[in-house]
Amino acid sequence: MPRTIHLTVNGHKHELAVEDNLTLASLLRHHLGLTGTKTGCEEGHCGSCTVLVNGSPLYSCLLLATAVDGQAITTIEGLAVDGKLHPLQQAFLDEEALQCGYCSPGIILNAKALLDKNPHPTEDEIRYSLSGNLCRCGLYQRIVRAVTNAAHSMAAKGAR
Amino acid sequence: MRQDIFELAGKLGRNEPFDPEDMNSWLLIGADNRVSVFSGKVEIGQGGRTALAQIVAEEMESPFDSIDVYMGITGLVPFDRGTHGSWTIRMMRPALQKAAASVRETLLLMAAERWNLPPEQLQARDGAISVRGDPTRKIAYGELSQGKPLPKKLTGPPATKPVEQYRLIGRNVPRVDLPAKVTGKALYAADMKLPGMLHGKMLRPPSLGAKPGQADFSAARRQPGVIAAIQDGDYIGVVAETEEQAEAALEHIKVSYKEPEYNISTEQIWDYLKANSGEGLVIKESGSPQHGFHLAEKILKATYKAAYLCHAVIEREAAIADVTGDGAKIWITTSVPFGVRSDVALVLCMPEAKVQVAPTEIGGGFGRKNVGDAAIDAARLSRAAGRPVQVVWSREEDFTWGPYRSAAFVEVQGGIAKNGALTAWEYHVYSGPHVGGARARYGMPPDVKRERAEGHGPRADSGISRAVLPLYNIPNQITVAHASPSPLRTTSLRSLGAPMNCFAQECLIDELAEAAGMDPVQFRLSNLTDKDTGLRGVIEAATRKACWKPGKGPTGQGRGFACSLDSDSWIAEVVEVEVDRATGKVRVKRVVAAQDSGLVINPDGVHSQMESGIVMGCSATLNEGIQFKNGHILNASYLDYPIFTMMDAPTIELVIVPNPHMPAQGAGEPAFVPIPAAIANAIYDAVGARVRELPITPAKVLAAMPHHPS
Repeated sequence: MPRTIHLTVNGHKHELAVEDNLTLASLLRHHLGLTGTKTGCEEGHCGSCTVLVNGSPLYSCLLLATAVDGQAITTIEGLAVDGKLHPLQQAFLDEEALQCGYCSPGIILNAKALLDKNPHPTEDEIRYSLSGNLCRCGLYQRIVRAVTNAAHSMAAKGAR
Repeated sequence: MRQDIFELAGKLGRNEPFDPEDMNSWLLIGADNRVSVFSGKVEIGQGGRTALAQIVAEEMESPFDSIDVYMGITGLVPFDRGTHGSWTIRMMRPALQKAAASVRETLLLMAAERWNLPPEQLQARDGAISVRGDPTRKIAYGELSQGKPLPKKLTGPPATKPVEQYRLIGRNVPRVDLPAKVTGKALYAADMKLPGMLHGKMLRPPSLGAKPGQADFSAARRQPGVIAAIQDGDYIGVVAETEEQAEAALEHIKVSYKEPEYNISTEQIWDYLKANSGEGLVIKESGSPQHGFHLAEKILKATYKAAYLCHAVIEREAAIADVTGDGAKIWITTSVPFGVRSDVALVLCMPEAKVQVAPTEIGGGFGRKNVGDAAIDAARLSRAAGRPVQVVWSREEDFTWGPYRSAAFVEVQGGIAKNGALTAWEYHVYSGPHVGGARARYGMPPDVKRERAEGHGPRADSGISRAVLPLYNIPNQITVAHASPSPLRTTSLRSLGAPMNCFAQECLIDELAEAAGMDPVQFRLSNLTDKDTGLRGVIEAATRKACWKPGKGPTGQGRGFACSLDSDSWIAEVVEVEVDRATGKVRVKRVVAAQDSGLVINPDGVHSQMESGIVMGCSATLNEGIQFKNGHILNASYLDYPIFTMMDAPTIELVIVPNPHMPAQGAGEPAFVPIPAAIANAIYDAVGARVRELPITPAKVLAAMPHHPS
């Protein structure tokens, strides 16, 4: 039996009838068309499906939609404001910290959660925080640099 | 939405076949002055789209942002074998440079005719032909072309722009594909949705090679949402309204399997490869190896092994097929759209001209996308359902049923004279195939002609013998490649057999250096001739950057060196490791690499590819190896096949050795190649453990440590 849940996704309120076994990842991708959230493994190992739930980075493939009833979700589509890229997105472009881009949405969201909590992380803190997000193109060094640079530009602008 | 992508060829008036000698096959200038570039290569994350635009804009004298690059869409672009082997730039630059120069020169002649001026008085600048000394008198390219193919006016090959005048090539032009990837707008195959689209799932056999009997679909067809369930030879699949419904219906298919006898697992693969290979193909023989070993003061002999490797790209295999009475349309994550076209045509018994294939955004390849498995799945299921069908493999399916890089086994011996000069070398590599054959093993009817052309079967293909020849001046040598069938399905994986060959060669070279009492880098340099300037250049650049100096003996911290020639690029790498003596755990701290790829189109793109290859190489060397037993893959998840994470990745420092007058060479794979050898050499330097089997696990390090009880 479908259950009705209420979600705020990227600032928009949704009332949705969902099956008990529907994951948050499937809900976002298939019901709301937010395919920026990727699913590399659907078993909680690769991190590509990372979204923010009330600001915390979580693997959306492991979460049931019914378990996040009433919560606020941020996906990669919700980061840019009025067409202006988030400093992290801009830093990933400036450093070219991606190749195929499949892991990037999850990594950028995880990095946002890190910077929101810890605006000036060390390299070790960045590596530790992002170690649950696999990048097979292997651009980890660039990702560290992009997150570091974004932290600086966010601090300079007082932005979050 | 890219579903209308196949209408482009009609809109642009393009018809196959495309003569590669005709500039109009590659380029079209719209009346709006936009330049369309048509290439059979795909953007797979390597930055090809941007680099090809740089090449065309440079040679045509068009603004960079006026270039649109169409990649890999069959019917629209010239045929291409695939985006692999670090060939995007190596192959496309000569073709596009010549086409773009022809276009520029032709436009110049057209303007000269129109103005009745000698062409020498005209110049091509910024997307227009203008009169020298009178910049107000100019005509845009698009006004001359009127959006149509250009007439043939040149009588000989066009003059190309001198390297010294380049303004775009050699610059870090920002990648054009990245903005859509950081905003989530980029559409990969699993992200696309067509009207009326269904979802397909395949019933996988209980073990590799198991053959199904006749399946009973009566219960499965009654499940909610199920539209069709089919068997086509060994292939069994279900189509339903949703992916979850298709998955659930699989459990209701009744079928029994005949499982083959298995007597091979991870540990026996080396014996298998040796026992099942022929006498081999002599790649090179010079001097007299027998005499050379006779002359040697010292002879060292060793065997080296490497496990099967999985690409483990984060994007899973995925495709959409829309099969109707008129033909088939395929959207797929692939590096071989033309191969997918012929595969689908074969499976559907349809002429190739009726099959259209468009690559979607591609979430990593490294060879994994050299097969079009999901297209075959989706095409069969769409034909049965009469509606578009999307197929997305699970992660476990991707690890289990996708192809791997073959395991390999090397026997090598080398001899040195008293002064440290190499006198003799004998090298035998045993391996399953890297190139071709993978398609035939995904429920495809055999295409004997193509398989033969691609080198399938027990012969030494170009992958096994890649980078197989010793780099050094050795008067007496023989190198033989022995091809074996592979018990597991294989295809190419970034640099194919090259890292294995480099591992064996460059580890033995280190061992010979030690036997000669020489520093390993000095030993290498002293065994080069004056003509080996390319290799010498990268060795000196890498060791200088890394401040290489002879080691002080086992300290737990080690440095290793290795070098190679791959994809026509010279590559040398210095690796620093830290080895925990108690656990055998190895951490790669720093990698310094120097590469000479000739002319560099986009330096940051080359850096990015080098970093990528280095990290993948480190991961493969220390962490990766497919384990199998009794027809089962034992480590079919990222948890059990743990690729490098951000915590594992080393600090990387790079040098591009400038060589702009050499043609642009391959840059996607070379940096992977020396990594296994350099890490193994560094581990030996750190703790005196010589590990000759990949992956180098902590247990193997401990077992190889001097004075270890085992």
